[in-house]
Amino acid sequence: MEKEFDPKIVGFFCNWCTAAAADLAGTSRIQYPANVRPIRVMCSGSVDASYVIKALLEGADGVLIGGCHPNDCHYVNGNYKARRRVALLKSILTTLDLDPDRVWLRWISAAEGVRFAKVVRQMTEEIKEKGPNPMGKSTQT
Amino acid sequence: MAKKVKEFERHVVVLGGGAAGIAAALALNDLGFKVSLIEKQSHLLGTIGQLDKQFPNDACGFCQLRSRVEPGVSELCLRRDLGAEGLDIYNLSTLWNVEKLKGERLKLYFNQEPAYIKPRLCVRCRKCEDVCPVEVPDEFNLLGKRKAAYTRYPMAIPPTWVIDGENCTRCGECVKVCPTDCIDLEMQPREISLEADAVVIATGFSLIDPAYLTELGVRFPNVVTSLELERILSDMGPTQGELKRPSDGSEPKKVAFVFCAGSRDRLHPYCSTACCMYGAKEARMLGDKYPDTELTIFYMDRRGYGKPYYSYMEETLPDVRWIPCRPAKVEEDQDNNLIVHYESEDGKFHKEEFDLVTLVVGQEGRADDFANLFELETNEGFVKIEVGSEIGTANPKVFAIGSAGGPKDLPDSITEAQAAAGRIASLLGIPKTRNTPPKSVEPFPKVGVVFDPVGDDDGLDKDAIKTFFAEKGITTAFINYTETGKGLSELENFIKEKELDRLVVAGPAPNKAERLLKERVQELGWHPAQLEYLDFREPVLWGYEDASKFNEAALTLALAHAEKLRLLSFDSAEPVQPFGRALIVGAGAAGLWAARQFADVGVSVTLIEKTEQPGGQARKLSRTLEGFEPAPFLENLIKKVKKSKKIELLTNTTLDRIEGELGKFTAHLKRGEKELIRGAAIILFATGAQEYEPKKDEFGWGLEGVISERDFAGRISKGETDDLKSVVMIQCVGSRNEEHPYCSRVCCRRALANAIALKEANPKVEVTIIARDVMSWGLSELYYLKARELGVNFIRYEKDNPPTVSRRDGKLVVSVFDRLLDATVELSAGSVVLANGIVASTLPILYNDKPVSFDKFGFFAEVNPKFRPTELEVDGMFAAGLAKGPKRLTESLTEASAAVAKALVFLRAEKLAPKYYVARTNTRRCAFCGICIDACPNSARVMDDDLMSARVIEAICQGCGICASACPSQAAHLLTLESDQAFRMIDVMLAQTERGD
Ligand code: FES
Repeated sequence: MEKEFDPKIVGFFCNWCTAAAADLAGTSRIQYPANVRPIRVMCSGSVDASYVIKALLEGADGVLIGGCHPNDCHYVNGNYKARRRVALLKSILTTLDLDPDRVWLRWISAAEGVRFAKVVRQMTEEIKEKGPNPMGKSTQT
Repeated sequence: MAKKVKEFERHVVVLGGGAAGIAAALALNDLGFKVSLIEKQSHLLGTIGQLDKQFPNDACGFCQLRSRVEPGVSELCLRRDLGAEGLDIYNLSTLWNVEKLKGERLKLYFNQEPAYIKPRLCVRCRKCEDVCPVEVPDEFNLLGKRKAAYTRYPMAIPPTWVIDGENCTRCGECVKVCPTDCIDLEMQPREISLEADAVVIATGFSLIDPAYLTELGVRFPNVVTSLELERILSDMGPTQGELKRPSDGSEPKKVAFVFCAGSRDRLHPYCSTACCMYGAKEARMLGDKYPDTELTIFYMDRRGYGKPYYSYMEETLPDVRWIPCRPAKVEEDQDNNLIVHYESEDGKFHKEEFDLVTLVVGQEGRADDFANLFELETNEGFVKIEVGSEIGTANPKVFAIGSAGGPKDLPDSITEAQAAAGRIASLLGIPKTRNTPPKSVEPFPKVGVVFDPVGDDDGLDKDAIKTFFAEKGITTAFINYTETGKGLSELENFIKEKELDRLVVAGPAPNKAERLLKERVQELGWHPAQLEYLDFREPVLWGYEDASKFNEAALTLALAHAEKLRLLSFDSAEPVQPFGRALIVGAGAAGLWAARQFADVGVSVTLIEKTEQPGGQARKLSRTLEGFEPAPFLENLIKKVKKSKKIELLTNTTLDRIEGELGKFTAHLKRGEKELIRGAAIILFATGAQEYEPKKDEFGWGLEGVISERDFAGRISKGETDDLKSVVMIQCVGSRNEEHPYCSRVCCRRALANAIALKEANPKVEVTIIARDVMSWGLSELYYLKARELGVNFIRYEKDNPPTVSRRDGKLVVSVFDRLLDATVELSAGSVVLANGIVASTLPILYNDKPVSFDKFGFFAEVNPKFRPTELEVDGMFAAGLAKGPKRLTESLTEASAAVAKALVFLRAEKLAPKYYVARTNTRRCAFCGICIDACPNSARVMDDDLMSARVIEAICQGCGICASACPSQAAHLLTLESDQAFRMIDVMLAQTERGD
């Protein structure tokens, strides 16, 4: 029987906002698809481009970077730096023939449990539509 | 003089767990005080918890209150938890008695209502709420219902559910389902008594109940209060952030805001201070989200009186229609639309339809209930503040901060909270901090994993988990460590028995748990980093909608974190011994006041002043609106400073440049031709500002009889104005325009003081104040009313149609367009008084060869205008007083005290301990390109010419890791997450998923 495609999404969530939003969603029982594997980072600005590329090369169907809203980064402007880096990264991904839309950067504050769930759901659905990451090892075998 | 005190020996009770109370508690706790934080409600945060974003930067900022990071890193966000050693929280507690003890100490008696839930046992599983049959109005989300078993908001502080005893029917359903038996419906109220060395009153305000404003249509469903709108716009609110009309759920297209609803009226004659700004903020949030919505604001004065407020209100809200009047009446039609009747300034009557009307409601004092217990007086329901202070009361050991002492906005409340900590420190003395020896983490670890189960129904297959990890050489255990007492020892035994030296703990959201665990393993001789906290319960067990994925997630996430720990090893740096001295630049009122407080706690100070004598602008000030005489205060202060052995006062001295870093600054000073060098742990800039000098002919400047407001005040006090027959005052001279797009904050109040003094001396004198908006916020509104009563005439003008001043036939003539009369009127005046604003006078300062940055107005820029009002971008540098922006004398003093509190955190440290949340540089790899220096948000990175490499100042580094990801040569790295660790985690996470199914 053909199994339904179940995307694997690696999440890099900043400790101050998005990781807290995940807690908030959980406590409030606002549920979301179980497709995100979170890694807590201190700031969205600390997510190295190589982490994202590595995740995609290892077969992640998507990478979600979550940070604080503008003006709200615990480290003043880390999120702006993240934004610049992700923009650059996306153009690199295009030249590498990787789909840039598999990488999402979203601002989700510690007060936004609903938004956290919405973003995860939306991303999971869109990645489902895209299908598995062609770089993924699972599909290579 | 400094007394020797021990850590947590002195006890301060903070009444009120809202923003101000929390800020005060944290600031005091950082200074080594034992703090008891008392809250009347079930949970902390007060009104601010209901706001997702606050002005002036439209952000949350709840993680900014405390800059120290380890070890309970996630507790720093107030949306998660609040905890620290030496900080006790009492909820549901009401003060009922105060007793005076010997030595000015106070004994406070509280009555603590039962929560009917034993807080230590509650695992926040929410089962009690699910079965509770009682529904009552929700006081947090406002437009909905809550149960009797509830939490005020999710992730509340303290992190437990409570039962509302008043509404509970004692049906006992919750008792049956509680998995930890933590509910006790027989619980009795408890009596608490606390002895305090000082008390901070931070009881805040009650929101004005607009029920009496019947003419504004309060009873109509689509007339909401500003707080209700705040919840409607909130992601976690009743409509999940979608703008919907309460009557029919439709999206309103035309929204009106009515400012001053319930303020500046007969019942509340004062101005509620914060509403103009937060009303504007709501308009902005709404406009950003729904750009097609038409926004109208009915207002009385646009009181955006602080440094960034003017541009916030008037420049960045372009699509709002501002109508300067209070609507006469609001009616409803059959579709629940609202008809607003109002009279425009030209006297015409209008009727206009809106879909939604928001009443921007203000603050009501609550001090009448308890002030008498402290033998304090009140003023309009707020604690009466001593003349000459913003926070002092008639009892020198009792401070009233935030809205307890009068309607306040958030930035001022936080400044006052930190100032109270500074004042209390200088009254009671502070302890030196203990020294933590540096620790390194050796490689080749033995790793264990502990899961904290939520109950038997958590969906985890314990055997499968055990086998899986055993195959990987990792021992696992299931320990409920949150359980009182025995849990933690069980965990400790597990570590000892299995001889572990790394541990992953997967459990509830890492609020207090993370700190407690890390403190515990430190007792075993571990470095806190050897324990990795995996946030598992909330985001996975409660967040994942597919329970069949729990097990797989447990395996993957725990293994990823265990692998991360396997790769952990580092050497800790040596601690830095800071200089025991503070440098204060500028000996105006703020600088002098700060110097004195530092000296009080035994800190040595070098205070430099570029002019010949100390005192600054304050020397030119006359009696304030409240009756404070600056002159004797200043004289006394200067005397004390000059006498203090701790303070080195250097006049005729300027600052040439600064080198070094927090704890170890070197300042190069110039005194005449001589260069002086001083080492300092921190630097406080109190360099003041200047009065605006109008251009020639600007509002008649230069004509005979045209005088500045400040000089005019001096003349009044000398009695030189007694024979004037008419005076015209013109406001906003050099303020709120293109050149100086901010309000100077002091001038309207000074105009009122002058006008009142003139009228009181001679009721016949004609006084006219021509102003754009009269900035008499808070209780100073009462003086505005008084001026009107005394017959002072007010005329409003707009920026683009200013009054003109000329001299005709030996007389001064002011012509101004009066919108009420719809005509230009001419006023002749014996004197024309110009409210010259305040402009920055900061000189360039070189720090490590780079200029220190200022804000767009030329004042010192705070890192965070709300929560860190005195801290500058460079750690260890602070600013206070006019140097940071226009403010009143007493506000400058308050800010100086706040800066002192923040600076003392470093000055009381014997050593600045090395950190683990820290970045490093691999010197061999460093290409010396300098990219990391720009990437660092904290000035923690410097170029080290000797090393030919970038270097991290560990005392400053906050461990964000931005430098590491910016570094092109992988020289910059982060101890908490090295790239090999991140790669390994990614590997595990992606490999493991195949196994799970
Ligand atoms: S801390 Fe959240 S994005 Fe920087």
